[in-house]
Amino acid sequence: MNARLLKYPVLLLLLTVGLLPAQTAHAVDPRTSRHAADFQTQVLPLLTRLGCNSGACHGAAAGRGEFRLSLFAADPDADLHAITVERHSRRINLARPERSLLLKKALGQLNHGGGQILEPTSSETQLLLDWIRNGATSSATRTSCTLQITPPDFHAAHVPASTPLQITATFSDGSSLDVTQFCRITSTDTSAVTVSDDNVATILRPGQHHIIIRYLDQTQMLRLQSPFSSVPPASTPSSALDLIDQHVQLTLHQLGLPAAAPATSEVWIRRLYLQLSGTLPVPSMVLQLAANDTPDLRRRMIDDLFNSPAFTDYWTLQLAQLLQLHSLPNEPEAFTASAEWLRQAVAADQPLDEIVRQILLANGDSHTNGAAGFSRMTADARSQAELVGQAFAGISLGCANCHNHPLDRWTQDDFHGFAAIFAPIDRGRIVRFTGRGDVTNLRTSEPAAPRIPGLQYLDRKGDHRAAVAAWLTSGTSPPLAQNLVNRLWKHLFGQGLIEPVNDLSLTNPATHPELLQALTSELIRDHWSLRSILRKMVLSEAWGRSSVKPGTITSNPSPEAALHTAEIRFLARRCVLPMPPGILADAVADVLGVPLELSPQTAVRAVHVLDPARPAADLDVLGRCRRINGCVLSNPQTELPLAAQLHLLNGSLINSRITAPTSRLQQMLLAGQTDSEIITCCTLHALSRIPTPAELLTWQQQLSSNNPAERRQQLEDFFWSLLNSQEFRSIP
Amino acid sequence: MIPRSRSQPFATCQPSRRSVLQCGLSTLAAFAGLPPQSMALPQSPTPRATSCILLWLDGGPSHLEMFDPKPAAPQEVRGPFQTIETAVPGIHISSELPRTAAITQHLAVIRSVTSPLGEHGLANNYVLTGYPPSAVLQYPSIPAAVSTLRPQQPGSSLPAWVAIPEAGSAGTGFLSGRAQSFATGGDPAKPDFQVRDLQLFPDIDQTRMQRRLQYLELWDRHRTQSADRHQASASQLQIALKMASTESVRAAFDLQQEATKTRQAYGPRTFGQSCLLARRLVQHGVPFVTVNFPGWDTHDNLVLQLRDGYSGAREGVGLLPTFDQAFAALLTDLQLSGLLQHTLVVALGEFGRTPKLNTRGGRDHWPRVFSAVLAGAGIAGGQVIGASDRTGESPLDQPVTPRDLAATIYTLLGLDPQQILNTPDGRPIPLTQDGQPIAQLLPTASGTAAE
Repeated sequence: MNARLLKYPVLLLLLTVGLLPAQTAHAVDPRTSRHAADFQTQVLPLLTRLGCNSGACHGAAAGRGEFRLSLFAADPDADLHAITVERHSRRINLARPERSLLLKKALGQLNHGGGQILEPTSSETQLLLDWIRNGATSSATRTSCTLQITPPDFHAAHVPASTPLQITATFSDGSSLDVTQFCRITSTDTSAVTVSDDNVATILRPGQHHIIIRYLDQTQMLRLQSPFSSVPPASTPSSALDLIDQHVQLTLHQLGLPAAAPATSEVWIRRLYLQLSGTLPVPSMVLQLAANDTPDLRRRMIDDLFNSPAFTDYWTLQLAQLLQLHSLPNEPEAFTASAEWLRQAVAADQPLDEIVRQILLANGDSHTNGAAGFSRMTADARSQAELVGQAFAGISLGCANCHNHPLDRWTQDDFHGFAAIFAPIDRGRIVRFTGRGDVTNLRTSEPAAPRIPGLQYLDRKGDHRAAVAAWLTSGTSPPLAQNLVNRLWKHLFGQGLIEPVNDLSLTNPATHPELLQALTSELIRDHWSLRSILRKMVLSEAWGRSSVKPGTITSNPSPEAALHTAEIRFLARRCVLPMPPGILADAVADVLGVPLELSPQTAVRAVHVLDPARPAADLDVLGRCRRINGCVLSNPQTELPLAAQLHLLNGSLINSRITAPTSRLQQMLLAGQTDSEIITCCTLHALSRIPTPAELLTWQQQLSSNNPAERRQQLEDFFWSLLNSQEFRSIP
Repeated sequence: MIPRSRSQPFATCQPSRRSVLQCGLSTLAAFAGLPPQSMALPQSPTPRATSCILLWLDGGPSHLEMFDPKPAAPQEVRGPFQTIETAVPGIHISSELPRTAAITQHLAVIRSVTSPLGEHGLANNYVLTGYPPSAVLQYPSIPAAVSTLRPQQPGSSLPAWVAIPEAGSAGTGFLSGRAQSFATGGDPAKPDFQVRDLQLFPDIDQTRMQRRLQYLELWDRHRTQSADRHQASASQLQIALKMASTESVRAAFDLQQEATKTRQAYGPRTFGQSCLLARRLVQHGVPFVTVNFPGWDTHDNLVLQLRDGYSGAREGVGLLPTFDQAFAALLTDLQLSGLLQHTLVVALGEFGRTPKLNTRGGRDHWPRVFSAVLAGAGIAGGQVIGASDRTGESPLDQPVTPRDLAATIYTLLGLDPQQILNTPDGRPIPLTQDGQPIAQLLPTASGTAAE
């Protein structure tokens, strides 16, 4: 070939001359240099927008097709290296930019797992080409930025409706740039909102939807709303409402959802007792409130509940589940110390941040220092990091190990770095900081540098648990406060303001973001008091609403299911929740007047069985929390398993207690009470209400035997059906 | 006009949280970033197995005293028992498994299972789920995943996963309570054995039960309005009610209906009768049955625990004879009734035992190499897969991880090991990750496995 070329020196010279001016001209062309593509603020955002560096593609921990980019361009230097240096620079062809592997793959000209993602004539292609022509370098002149989205919120009176999006970035050097075309703009639900290639968002369904906008390291949400009903609901937000209801009412108003009526006093008190203390209200309280339902009496009832041992028992169990408290083999002392410590903290309404701080920082003998025992609930540093992240900050760091979560913002450095903080902790009987031990960062195969997730690196040496505590509890929106508010909200309302509660992240929008922020501030202002924040929630109108549908919406009809979901989601009405298994077992025992027994002759309440390893056959059948992920702070959607259902129908839990001589029914029979007395009393105990006249009539007709033996059996069957009814098993 | 969604060219890389919940398998495979060709289910022939029986030898059975004896090794490795020939020339197993030796032509013995986890809880978790344990996400066990993807057959009143007598370490992980096993409870070897809560409560006859159900309807009739969240739970209640009131369900669980000769063939002890019950359930169409056989954590006195059962026993009633009789009876029974072709039988525990005997004549935990046995489902029998080294210390050939094992079981049951299950928060998790089905165990391309 060379020989052939040498035969034509003139031609070669001509070729060279012909090419050179073109290149030189290009380099000095003022038009191009003014618009020279910037790697960090244009090229990388473009790759993000195209999805190249997502967790499912080259952003995966192991990359894809031997090409690895940092997840969502978190590491620009590494990405520049990967694109321009790795594999002998074969991805970039400076001599012939249009032949660069980077482009040919993206254009689908070479076999590409992701297919063709660029059009040859598009401005994106042109930008990449420009960047390569200019030497494929990074100048890194402008970096961090703030984003401004126009419009900041989008409210459409009707659907479909469209709005153009414009995103402006302001950089650290003060310059700003319209970066709309470099943003990655994603709809969280493409059946509700679409975004066209020219950045026009269209809302297709009534409701509240979100668009995620990513640029560089910035992620922001845009909220889009359209009402279900064009007629504004009668009740508009008023300043007379308390904090929670102002926010809830505003959203209902914006979405055109009428709110359900307040629940009856019977429903309200049943809900209150079951959710705050895990017990049924006693009949006298139900009747007292029904007779004289005043705000003042409701407040007093709440305060009485807060001061009751039942409240302390119940919330000790809730926190034990969140903290995954369980016994260790052959060390009952450690479990007892931790359980007792937790109980005292709840009883004294110790500030929640203080409880968490003590748990994190505790050193010493776990057999006497209960706080220290919580560091022993996980086997190693990684597990402890995952648990601390999840229980205290509501974040799932573990995903960073496998990258299966495409929306996750946590990196491997975050996860392994956070674990490195806990590596020097001795988890033996004496919990202490040893100063030795590390965690291997699986990305670099080197010891991970201690790191607060998403924030900052810490010194290699030193006990950084205090830094973790500070990160969790300080600032205007401490992760711990937000996480606790969200979990407590879920406990009381059946769903978190952010769902799932274990995945608080920038890309996971809250139903009521302003409310979450306001309650977070309230929790801090009230000295992190569990009782104060719970009081605010149960006193709200939103919490006290009925579960009955608030009439039908005629205009702008939506599918029934969508409307139903929206009503629940935006708190237009309550959803009925199943009683958790332990609460159900205690309720059965209380209504029947025959206690649970773990072993013969040993009465116990399920709420007192803090240790999941403690044998309890009835609880096992019903399906109790094993301190594994999924039952953290009571998952209200847990279904009763098949064996539990059968046990309630055919097993001894209900059946043997109905016929026990000491049971409520047998005692009432012994006392010679009438059918209607028995029906009324049992219904009141079990369902926290007196039977309706229609129900009473029905049962009087059903239970009509004059034969005493037959009458007893009929009443037993009545009681059985009462305790197996959906109404009994639910929190209304 | 509805504008074109941005999603077209990029859909493969960025689904929304919600669309993960809504879209089907192929979309999810695409989302996982798989090349298009792997989106389709594997082109394997129709699955052979519609049912699976998992015999879980809890505690860690000794590979050296069962399917991987080392007759040429020194005494402290060889252990107390001899080695015998089997029905398949060239395959030798422990002398304490004579009945199993006679049916080895049905078995595929894997001698190179390997795991790094030597603690019961973690090891159980790994082997039963195919995933190394994580503190943040509990993975579902294989039976939980299978019964979720293969729910109850239409018209059947039987649950999709029955655990005899308890599920033991096999949990549902992130799958809901609906994926839970139906545990029989009790001891199938007891003459008065009954499945827990399947029988009506004493003194409650069908007439009273009917009245109770009628009363129940009266209560629930008033409450239909606000039942929203409860509907799923109510459907579980419907299944329970159906189970409680269907005679054929009780019949499927009723060992009394088996001939005395059959019951004797399986042996009089719990594991034997559990295996018989498993066979009965598979016959009645239950997709997954797990039998939990505890007691294999033999830290001391192998002779007593594995063979004799109690000191001075004339005829051994220990773990090995119990296993041997029941296992051989189960496979023979399945074979004779034609069920074996469509039933996958798996027997294993969470790890093996230390190559060297300890000072108490026992062996301690050893996960680096151990054995698993598979049969049925069109698997070519009479083969040994992989090998351990001279002393049963490490895999010598074709190491098989619990991930591979899980991928093999899913594949044999006709499920794509890459199939996605969603966590409650919509995170897509494949059935197995990084697991390769064992090629020798899959039906051959022609669709007929060597017999």
